[in-house]
Amino acid sequence: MILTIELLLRLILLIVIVLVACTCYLIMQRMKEVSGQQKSRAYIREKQLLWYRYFRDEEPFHTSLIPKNQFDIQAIEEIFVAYLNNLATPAISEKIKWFSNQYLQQHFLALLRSRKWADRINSMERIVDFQMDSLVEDCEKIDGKKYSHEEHFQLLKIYVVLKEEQFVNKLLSLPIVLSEYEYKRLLMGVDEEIFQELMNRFEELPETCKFVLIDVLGVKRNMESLPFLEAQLEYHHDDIRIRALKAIYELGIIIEAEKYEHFGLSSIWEERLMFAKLLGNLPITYSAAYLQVLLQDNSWWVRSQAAQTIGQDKQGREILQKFIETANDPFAIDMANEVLWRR
Amino acid sequence: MKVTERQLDHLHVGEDQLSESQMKRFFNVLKATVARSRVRMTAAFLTVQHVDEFSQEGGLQIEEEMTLYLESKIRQTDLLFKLSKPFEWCVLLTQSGEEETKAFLARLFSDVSTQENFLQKGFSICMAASVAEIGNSQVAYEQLIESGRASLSNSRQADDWHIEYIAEFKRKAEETVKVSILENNEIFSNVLHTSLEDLAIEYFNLEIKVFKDGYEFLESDFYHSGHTHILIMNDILPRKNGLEVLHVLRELPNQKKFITFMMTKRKSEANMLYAYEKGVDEYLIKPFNLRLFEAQIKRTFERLWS
Repeated sequence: MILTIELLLRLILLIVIVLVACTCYLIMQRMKEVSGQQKSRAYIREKQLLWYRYFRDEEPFHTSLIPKNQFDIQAIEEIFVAYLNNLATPAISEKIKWFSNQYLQQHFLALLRSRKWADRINSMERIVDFQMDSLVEDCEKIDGKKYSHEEHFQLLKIYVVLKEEQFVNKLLSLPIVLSEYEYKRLLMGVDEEIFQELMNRFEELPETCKFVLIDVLGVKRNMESLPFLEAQLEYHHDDIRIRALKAIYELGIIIEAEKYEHFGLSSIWEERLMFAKLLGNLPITYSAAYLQVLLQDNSWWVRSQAAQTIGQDKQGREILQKFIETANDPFAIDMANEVLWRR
Repeated sequence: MKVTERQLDHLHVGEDQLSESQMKRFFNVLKATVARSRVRMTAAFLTVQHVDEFSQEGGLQIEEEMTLYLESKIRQTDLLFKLSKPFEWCVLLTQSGEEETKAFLARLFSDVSTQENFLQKGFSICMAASVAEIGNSQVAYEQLIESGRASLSNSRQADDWHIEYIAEFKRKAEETVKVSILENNEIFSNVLHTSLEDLAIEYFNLEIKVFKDGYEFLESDFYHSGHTHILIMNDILPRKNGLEVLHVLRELPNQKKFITFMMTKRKSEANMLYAYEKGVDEYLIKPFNLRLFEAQIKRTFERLWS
């Protein structure tokens, strides 16, 4: 085919027309977006004080707060997220829950049924944030569909907040493998009853979940978990034992010191390290003898921890100085000196 | 009344004598400190009752001994001086309010009434007093003395050991305190602004400004003044964060005027310790309760006055 000038010109014209049409479309889309943002801003500007007074019980609920369009909903979402992230109290959360169930349900249901993954995820996130229990059943209805990893995770978050009684069963029947970080995000938000159920069904949990459960119990510092954590000190998996020791250290309480003594002689250096750390929760009169042995350990980490634990005590300086004068181990003396100098 | 009046232009401070003009100057310095340091001062006017029962010689001796006795009872920070009329004294209790002065007078009256060898002349001593708390620097010396003596006269007529309280100098002068909110979420910063604006804080006028980040705050001249300055800032901010702002402010020579509230999501012990070591005064873990925040702010203002 010969490319004539006329044909070339026609082609150029066609391309120009397509380009102009695309540009016009993009400009219109942008204008629509900007106009939408302006409408959302206007809602925030006009209504944020009303929301403030309503949340603080200074004024009753006003019908003008009810959204009239998509942009109002976006603005309300922004207001709710700002409050929940910065200023949540049970009363505010309850008002957000009531309003969302009442006036935002249809909007989030439509997003939940959307074919776009991002819409579904956003909707599920908001269902959790705003505690929209009216949509839990809708979430479950589409449970059978092929969810992505992230959607499975979001669904678990919904169970944590809105259907606690089913959370553990759902967690155990999960078709995907969650990471340590994801388990942590889930377990940090669960309540006491779920913790109790997880402790009761500890053997059924995936290994990563076991690790995280022990870590989170330590972070939460709930004394009631001490018997469970102490029971895990006999567990066959050393990672579980080490994490249990760490969690008990976080709790800051030791009832029967004898239960831990054998960790000072463990063949695993991490256990000896955690024992040296735990001794910091006991009076130095009891722990000094153990710590002086650990100060001569063949692991640098254990020696360092033992010296630090001694150094934390009021009488620590005296003990370290005495140790330096009498000990023969040059590595241990070095470590004791290091802590003495640092003080 | 057998005791003669003394010269008006000489007031006794222990063994030294200050002229009235010197006393007035001294008072002016003290009252200026009241506003600047926000520490109240109280003037207690004292008198002995039934002085007409004393002989001239006995009266003079009692008055002299009473002056020495009162001097032994006051603190090093207090100032005793004799008023021009016989048997009238004024004690300026710096760093004390009406309540502390009331307690001081209760102790003093109890001691005087039970002091057996106070005067071995066989007189029983009864006293009366009037108390004026000074909360601002607008009080004139002459006005204070005049009110104190008038009130003392009422107290004398009322009863033995009676104390009259003068309220007219108590009112604290209104002070402007600057408040900066460093937060990049507009909705949240507006909430804080409204909450602070609605707070009823006595004696203080709040000048509130919102900054989107630390850089905008440091570039402004809002913090270049001698006003007490409360900063409510997020730890994470674009451009310059809360800790960077804090570092700059704590390096300033007048850094003590800044009271800092750090808002953060980080609640680990290490993060909190670090923030306190860097000079944070209050640590607010988000999400926090607005009512508790307001209570903390109110308490901060209450602590400004001692």
